[in-house]
Amino acid sequence: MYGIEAIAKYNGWAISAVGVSIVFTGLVLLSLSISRIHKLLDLWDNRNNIQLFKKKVVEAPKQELPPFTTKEKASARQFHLLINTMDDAFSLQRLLHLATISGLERPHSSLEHLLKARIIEPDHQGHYLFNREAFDRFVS
Amino acid sequence: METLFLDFFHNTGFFLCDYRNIIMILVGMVFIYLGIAKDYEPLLLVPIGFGMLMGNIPVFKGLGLGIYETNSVLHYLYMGVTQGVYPPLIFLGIGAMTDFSTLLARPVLMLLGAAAQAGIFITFLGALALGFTPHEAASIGIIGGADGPTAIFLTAKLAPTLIGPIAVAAYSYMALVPVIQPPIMRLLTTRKERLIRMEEPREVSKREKMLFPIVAFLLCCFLAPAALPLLGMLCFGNLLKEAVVTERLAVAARTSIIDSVTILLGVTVGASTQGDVFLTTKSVGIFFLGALSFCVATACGLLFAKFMNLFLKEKINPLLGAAGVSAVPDSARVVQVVGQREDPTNFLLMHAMAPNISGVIGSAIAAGVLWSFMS
Amino acid sequence: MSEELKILEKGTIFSSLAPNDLKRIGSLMEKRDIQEGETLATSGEKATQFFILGSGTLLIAMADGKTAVMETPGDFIGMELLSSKGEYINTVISLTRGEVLAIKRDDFIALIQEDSALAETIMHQWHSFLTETLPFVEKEASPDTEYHY
Repeated sequence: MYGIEAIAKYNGWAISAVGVSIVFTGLVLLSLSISRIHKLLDLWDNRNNIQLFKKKVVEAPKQELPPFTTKEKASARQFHLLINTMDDAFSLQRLLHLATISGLERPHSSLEHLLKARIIEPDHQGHYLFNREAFDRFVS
Repeated sequence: METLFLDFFHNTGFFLCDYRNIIMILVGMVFIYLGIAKDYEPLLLVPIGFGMLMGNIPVFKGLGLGIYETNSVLHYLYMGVTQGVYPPLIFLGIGAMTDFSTLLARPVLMLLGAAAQAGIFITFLGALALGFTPHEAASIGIIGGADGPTAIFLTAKLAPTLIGPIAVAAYSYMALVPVIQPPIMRLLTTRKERLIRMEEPREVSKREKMLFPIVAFLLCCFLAPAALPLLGMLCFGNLLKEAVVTERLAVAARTSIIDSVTILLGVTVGASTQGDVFLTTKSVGIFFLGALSFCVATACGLLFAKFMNLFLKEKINPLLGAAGVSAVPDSARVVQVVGQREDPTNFLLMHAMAPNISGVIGSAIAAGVLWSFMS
Repeated sequence: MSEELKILEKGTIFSSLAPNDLKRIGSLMEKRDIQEGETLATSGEKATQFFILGSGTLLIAMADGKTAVMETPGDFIGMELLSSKGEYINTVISLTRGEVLAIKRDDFIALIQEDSALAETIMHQWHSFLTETLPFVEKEASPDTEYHY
């Protein structure tokens, strides 16, 4: 059997039509789902920003540095004296070295304290600057 | 002594030789030539070509030498083809070497891969009209999917006697993609259309790439469960690649496993083309319909891209439609070459990979659908 | 989740890694308490470890007098910030008590060389971390690894 007759006999038209439809449906569904993947991932990544899922976060009180103790104030003044012997933009490691050889008490943690109080600030070039305003606020 | 000599002579290839064996040996040599000298799919054409030489050495029946003798070594190796073992393993390797990010970046291009599969069903109708049985017609139609492993897989299930001609036709046409497709592409598109530039695809995250094989597998296999062996292995291979932690397995799949299976598949498919089995009027019909299938698939992809442009604000270059036939990555390369002939600064390769890869998925679904309809 | 992983997740370098990669790096880490004034690495000595800050403040003293202070948990002190050709190029001193996660330099380099995707992510993150936090640190064309990507 040949020609249209053979196609009709073996249900060729229906097989082709349904076959093409299934391939199309499969790929259209896949195309739709993969086009949503990145959006779903974004949604998942930002789930904390969605009002519905937002957890009530108790805002932690901003940590203000407590006022300097007399001992800390004295240490800060000694550091200030050392800084005065250096350039405006000074080397932090040199300052620590000077503080250590000058016999300052607990030079490491004192220096850290000054950094936290922003009395000593980075210039973002690898050196540090003395912040007079912060010094006056905490020490004077 | 004279009798001994005569007996020996009667068992030599020179005596047993048939003109059909000579023809197939010459075809095998052409395959080897095309693979080595012209660089047309050498990894496939060279093993198939040499397999043709092996399969067409005339042998004395009963010695357990020929591929169709149940006790021969070649027969055991050929079981990987007839039992449908090799194609899923090749898909595993393809999955482990394919980057689906272009597809993820522009999923709409997936429709071009679907459109090109229409060629399979149109050829199926053509084969029925030419007097092939429905099982044979389905196996012939799948040549238009331009996917050798898929064609072999379906033919092994539906019409095992046609594996040789169908595999050879599929791989020959895949190798001839750079010759077959460009004239059709130029015929069906205007110069203005070929000059269309595609916008840059968005960047795709690693997590998207990891999720894709799982989503694609579940969705496609729930829809067409018969595509499970091929799509399952393709998606599994891709997950191995994208999961990073399984990199060693992915490397094995895309190198040693796929290479070993390609060698076995190529040689045994080649050896199955024994002159007396291969050179029949059916084979001529298969070659004719296979070529038609390829051309129709290319045309369907191109025309569908033009159809999509009627609705899209950002037009797509219709040449991409030709990459919907899943000969990866050859048809994508052809798109690039044809596009650059009009505008050397227009890079379409990356965009063409999207329909190209979706063509692989589409042809596997089509094979699954045909298999389930026929069984 | 272990404490090590929590610290790793805080830093910009490792936070974007996949959970499995994070776990692999975490398994190589060793938590260590540090004391005020303790020297963790000395310039010129053989580079054996890199550090991730858990808590406290670290001062990185560089050869040209420049200094970096690391005080954010999760900050990474390693790669070209700390070593070159197997030697420490800077000195790391702890300003306060705290803790660090130490990772053997060789383990870390081997890990990122074995896994190109992981290496690429770490390199990118490291590059942006250095550019944003310590712009004055010179970035070598080829950092202290043998890996090229």
